Amino acid sequence: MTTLEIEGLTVRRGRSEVLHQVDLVVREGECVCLVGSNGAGKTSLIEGVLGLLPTRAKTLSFLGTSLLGVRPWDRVRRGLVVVPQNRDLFAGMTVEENLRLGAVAAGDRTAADAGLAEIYELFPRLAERSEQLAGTLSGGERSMLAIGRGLMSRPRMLVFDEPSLGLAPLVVTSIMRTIARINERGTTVLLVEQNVHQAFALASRAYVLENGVIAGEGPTDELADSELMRRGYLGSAATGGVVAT
Amino acid sequence: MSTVLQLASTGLLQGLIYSLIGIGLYLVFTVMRVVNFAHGYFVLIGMYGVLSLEPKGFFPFLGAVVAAALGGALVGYLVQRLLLESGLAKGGHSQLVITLSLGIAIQYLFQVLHPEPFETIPNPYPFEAFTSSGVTISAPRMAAGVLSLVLVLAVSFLVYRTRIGTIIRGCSESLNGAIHVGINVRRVYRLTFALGCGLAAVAGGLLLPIQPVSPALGLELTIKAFIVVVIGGAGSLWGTVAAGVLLGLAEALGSLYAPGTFATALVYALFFLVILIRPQGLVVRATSRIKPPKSLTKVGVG
Amino acid sequence: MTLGNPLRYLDTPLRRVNAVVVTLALAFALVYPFLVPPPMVGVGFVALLYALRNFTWNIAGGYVGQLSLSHIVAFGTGAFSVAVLTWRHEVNAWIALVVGVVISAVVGFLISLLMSRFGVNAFFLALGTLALSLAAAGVAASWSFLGDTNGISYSGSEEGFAHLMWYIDPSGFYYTTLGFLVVITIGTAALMRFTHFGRSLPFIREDPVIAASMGVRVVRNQALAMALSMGLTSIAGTLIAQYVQIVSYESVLTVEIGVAMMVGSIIGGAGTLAGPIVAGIGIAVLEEFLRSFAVSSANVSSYTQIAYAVVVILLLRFGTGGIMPLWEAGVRRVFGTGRKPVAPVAAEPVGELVDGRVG
Repeated sequence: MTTLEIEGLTVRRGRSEVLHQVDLVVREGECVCLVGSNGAGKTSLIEGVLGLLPTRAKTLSFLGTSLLGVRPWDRVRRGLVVVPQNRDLFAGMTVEENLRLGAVAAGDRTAADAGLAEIYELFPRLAERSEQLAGTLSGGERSMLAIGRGLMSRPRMLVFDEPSLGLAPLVVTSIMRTIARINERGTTVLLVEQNVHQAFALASRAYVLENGVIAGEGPTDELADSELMRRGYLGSAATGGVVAT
Repeated sequence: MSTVLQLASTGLLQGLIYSLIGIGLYLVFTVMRVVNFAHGYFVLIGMYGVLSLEPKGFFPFLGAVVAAALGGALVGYLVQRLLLESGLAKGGHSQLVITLSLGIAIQYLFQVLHPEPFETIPNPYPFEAFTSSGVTISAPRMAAGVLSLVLVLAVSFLVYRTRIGTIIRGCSESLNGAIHVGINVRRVYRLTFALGCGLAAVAGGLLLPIQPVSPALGLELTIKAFIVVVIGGAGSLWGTVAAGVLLGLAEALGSLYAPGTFATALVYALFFLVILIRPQGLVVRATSRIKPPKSLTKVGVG
Repeated sequence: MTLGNPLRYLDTPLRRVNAVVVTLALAFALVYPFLVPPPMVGVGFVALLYALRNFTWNIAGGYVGQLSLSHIVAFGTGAFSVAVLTWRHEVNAWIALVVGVVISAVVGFLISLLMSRFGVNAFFLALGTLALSLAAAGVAASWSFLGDTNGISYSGSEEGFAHLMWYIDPSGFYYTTLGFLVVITIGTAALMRFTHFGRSLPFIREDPVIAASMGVRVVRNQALAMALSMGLTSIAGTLIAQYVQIVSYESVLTVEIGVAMMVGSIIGGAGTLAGPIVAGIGIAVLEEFLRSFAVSSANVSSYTQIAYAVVVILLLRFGTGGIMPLWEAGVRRVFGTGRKPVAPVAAEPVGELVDGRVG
């Protein structure tokens, strides 16, 4: 069964069209990554899929039903949850309040309590800081909190927007391990990353986004050896960043 | 000395009403980043609402206040839904001009409907006045102050202790975050605006037996509400409450030293200075809050 | 700098149509007092005064985007300077007018400078200037120098252009105001077109940060625009004071005046030359129209205020830029753009849902 099916997606940001006729499929239980350089349109794709930017599409369906015309918060309630790039935490509220707000769409208090226990088990660090204000957390903790909040929404699919951004290498590794665990537990994952090595290590399939169009796709082990990746990505990815040509 | 005590007591009670008016504006201001220049005119809606119901006796009066509050909330809901919602995404200053114009429209509508200035109602409460150690407080003033305090506490309970309150605060903290957890932001905005306007209307109803109503009062109350919110700061609701009490006290005690119009002029001039000299604390914070988050500016959120 | 052949500017149908309309309007405005009885000339004066008031507000409010309500102070300063200097101390009215202009300009310069220095945003600018105007009204109401609550009444006997006073026939006021309006309009148009200062104003409105990075002296130019704008608004205050012959804080220092200027400019089209003028004349016509329905005079102003508010709310709600943009779009539709057609934009695909509107 396909979880997310995108066909012919066009996204506008302001007056300019930033994504052109993108096709993308994520099947249930998969971990798919979307890689691309800065400005390739990765975040625009997420915001388009969530309905935060004006879009047109032939097909945009989630779990078999169309998302077109559905409000962003209702997409979240259907289980399409994004862990945003800048985390978008509720800075003036405590860690626990942040997590509880993650479950607000479900509206079920006992389920929220159970979810909370699960999150604290996954991230013991968050349990220690449950009464601390989110705005005072470190970068890694903020990442954890954003992921935890996303999990509280009981997602059918989690979309990670650049989870490695701005984090120390060790923290990145731990976050990536967490994402792998989340996927193993049965949550479908779309990992949007600039860091090709990390993403390819995790995902089974990959899409490469270049200047608003899909430049290549395939299983990660095949794609890693392809001409496309050698040309644009892997060479410079070794130094940590990605430079598109 | 007893004069000072008398003035301080009336000032305190009047200040509690300002607090109630202020928290309505505070909610709208911090949650939705909307600057509602019509806020004081919703107080006017409450005053004229109760006036036109002509309540005789205590319980009819309470009923009239509740009805006026619901009326104010309904008008607020419609204003947000029909007039402001679409403009939130456009940015610019359309809501500023829309709410300013709306206030003027409400004022002159009442001018046509009630050309007689300074209308009021007789004391609706079953008691007359309280006297203690040389201080006399009339029943309506005492009741208005106490009821305002009760409502302020109720609102703070709602905001800080309930699920709805958490959602409202979430929207105020991060609009994007709220969307990412599946909060129907548009509905929260509508309800918050309705709540803010409803609170203003309640305050109007409570104010009516103390303060005769004229259409021009709306502007004065709008400015006072802004004074309270600006001085109180965007940080917490309690700042607004404290600023309301402070304004009431300053107004009452100020009347000792300066005659009417000049005292108001002084208040406005001081307010102008506050706007200038508090940019780091309040104004900047408010600025960053007034603008919707970058990625959402092009979308019709609300 | 040479203007070259003026006809050179009439290169599009819109400009040609506008030129014809402006010429006809000006011709009509010149002969209008000969066509109607004196009371209607008074109405014409009021219409031109509204136009002048809106236009001068628009220089700072429309072109630079400073949604100021301190123009109330400028309007009041113009009125009070002639009341205090001329009516009380027999100074020539023109000198009083100039004094009003200078004071208002200085006040405007300082307000804008203060607001910029302290980094006040548009909303707080509106709020702060409103507070300032109310403070000024409070001072005027309690200071006998400015007539406190009684106001100041005209006293004098001289008449004519030199004294800026006509007792019976309002055409003197009418033509003086028309003259001011024409000169100020042409001056502003030239300023916006030919000076570095004028051309920088729209950039400041769009984005002060980018404007500053392009080398525009944002703070200075904002302050100068505000000074110019408020200084010229003061002229309208002087003229209305001479016309009604009584000045009090209730007549010239009210918030309604400030809102009328702001809203009038926006209805006409903020940042356009003709918009504020058209809206000002339109609102005067509307007032007269309501009077003809035998609405009591107290209610006329109430109804016009409501009409003002409703129109501007609808304009902003439905996202049009005011009368002038609508007019321009209409003329272009009827007469074409007069430019070579650009390659047609590819038609948007039909039959797909347009997405992404949260609102």
